[in-house]
Amino acid sequence: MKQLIQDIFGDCKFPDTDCNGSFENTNLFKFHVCDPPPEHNKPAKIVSDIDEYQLTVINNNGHNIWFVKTDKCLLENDKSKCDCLLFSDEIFCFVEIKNSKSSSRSTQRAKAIEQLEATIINFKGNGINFSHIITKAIICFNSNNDYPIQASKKTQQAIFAEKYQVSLEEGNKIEF
Amino acid sequence: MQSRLIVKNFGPIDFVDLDLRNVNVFIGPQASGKSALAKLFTIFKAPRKFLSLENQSSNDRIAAFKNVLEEYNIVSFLKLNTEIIYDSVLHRLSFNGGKIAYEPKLYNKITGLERLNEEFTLNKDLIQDYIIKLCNDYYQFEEQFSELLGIELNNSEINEYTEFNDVTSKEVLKALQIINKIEIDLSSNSSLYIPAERSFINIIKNSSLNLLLNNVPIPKHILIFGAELEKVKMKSIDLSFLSNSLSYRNINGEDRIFINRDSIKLSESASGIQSIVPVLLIVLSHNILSKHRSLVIEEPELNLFPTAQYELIKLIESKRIEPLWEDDGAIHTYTTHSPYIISAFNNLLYANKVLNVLGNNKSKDVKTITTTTINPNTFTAYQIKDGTASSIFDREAGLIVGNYIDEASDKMSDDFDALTELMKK
Repeated sequence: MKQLIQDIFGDCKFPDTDCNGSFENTNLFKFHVCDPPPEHNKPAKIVSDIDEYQLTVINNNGHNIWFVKTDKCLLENDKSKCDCLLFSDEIFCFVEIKNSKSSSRSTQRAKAIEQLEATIINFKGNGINFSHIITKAIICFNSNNDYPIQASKKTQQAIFAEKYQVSLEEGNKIEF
Repeated sequence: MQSRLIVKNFGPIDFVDLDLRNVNVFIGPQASGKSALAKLFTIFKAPRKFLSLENQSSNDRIAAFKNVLEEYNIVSFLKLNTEIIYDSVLHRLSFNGGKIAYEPKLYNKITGLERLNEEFTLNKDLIQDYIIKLCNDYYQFEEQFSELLGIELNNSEINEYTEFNDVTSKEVLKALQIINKIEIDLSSNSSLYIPAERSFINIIKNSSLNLLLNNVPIPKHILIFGAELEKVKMKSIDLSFLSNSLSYRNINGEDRIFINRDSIKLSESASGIQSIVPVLLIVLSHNILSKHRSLVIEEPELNLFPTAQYELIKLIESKRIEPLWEDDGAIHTYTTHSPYIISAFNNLLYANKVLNVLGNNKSKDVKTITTTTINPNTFTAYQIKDGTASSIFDREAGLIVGNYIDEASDKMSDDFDALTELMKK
């Protein structure tokens, strides 16, 4: 999958960000992802637990996991896109991290859905086939509070499942 | 079954244009006007409760209209520039510029048929067309008319191939009597508002004479509901969806709640039970009668645990007969503040979609999850706020989308995040 993505999209388009390329792989049992604030103009990155982070990746079985920086890195700025991808041989995650304090969660969710949708359409439109792999679209907020059930959230999940065969989730933890 | 309600400048409502179907849901903050709209729907659905067809002066009509608004505690919402239009197959009723215009569409058809029948031999073909059209639209009429003619319908319907050669002018007159009765019933008795104060009826039932004696002012729409409740003949309801072995029974005129063999008075039971029983008595007894009824259920969630809210919606909707004809089945309109009620509707809508997409092969699997579904084509949902109404239903997806109730959950999450940030600092 990594090679296919690289063949289609190439590598980092923003050399000024010092990101050392769009693709990183790791088999750490646990690691974290941080999306720096917009004013830093830098892509998402893998960090340790002493740094600030929004997403935790649990990899108890030590799978080889690819981390792909999409926003401000692999993909050009002309299209809407999510922040990063995380995938093993079995699970593929489109990830959008929302940690802004300036807008409400519902506004951020609507924007995140648009970004995830655009990235999925872009990848599928370029011939990437996800039928053999469990595919998720994850909106990551600072906290994952389970306040009363939200019908509209369930509706979005149903639409994603029907349109893209992708399971839409909210959370700040991914398990491989 | 579709109707349209347009309201301008009425209380908190600036302008709304509602496409109403068989299941309608209104959400919105307090004092947004959602209950006022549900009340207007109840009033305008059955206008002959206050309007007469004969010799009612314009002033009398307005007085009667204001009186009925008073009964529902919304007369003070009237403004100089208030405009209300309700349009359905049965009638069109409007209030504009301080005047009421009433077009009783079915009644006009009936009088047209009466005129044709005066020249029966000459108009026999036209009369037949009229009757076929009425049979297509009105199930109760078709049933009673075919019985009158001695036609065995055998799951078929009266259409252009039905033998009408033997129908006489006298039989047409009898048919007119039938449809007239149906028209009066639909125009006068087809709608009922089930208020949030429903449990109050049971509390005041035994002291009503004292309340009357002391001129205690009780809003009339609550009394109207209480009077309807009194007519219900149903003697028992299985409430096991709330708790095992729980049931309601009316023993010698007294409402009691049973758990196995032990019982207590309904007025002594849990508040959720007191709020549910009046709703179910009306909904379930209508299910037996299966004439056309439009029921507005205000806040079905009252005093109920979340799963009970879900089960209640499943039960109420499972008993609703889809009004495929104008004089049969039920329209349910809900006002709610509950995310669980909204999600219950979304689940039933989605169950219908899953059944349609996956077909009969999977119907067993769907039925293990829910036996009740709602057809999205017969559903609408609106949020009322800041004087306007916006649809929260995606007709293409057949599901409920972003709404104020869901945003309230997000607001709570935002506050939690902000507090977490403070702790970090």
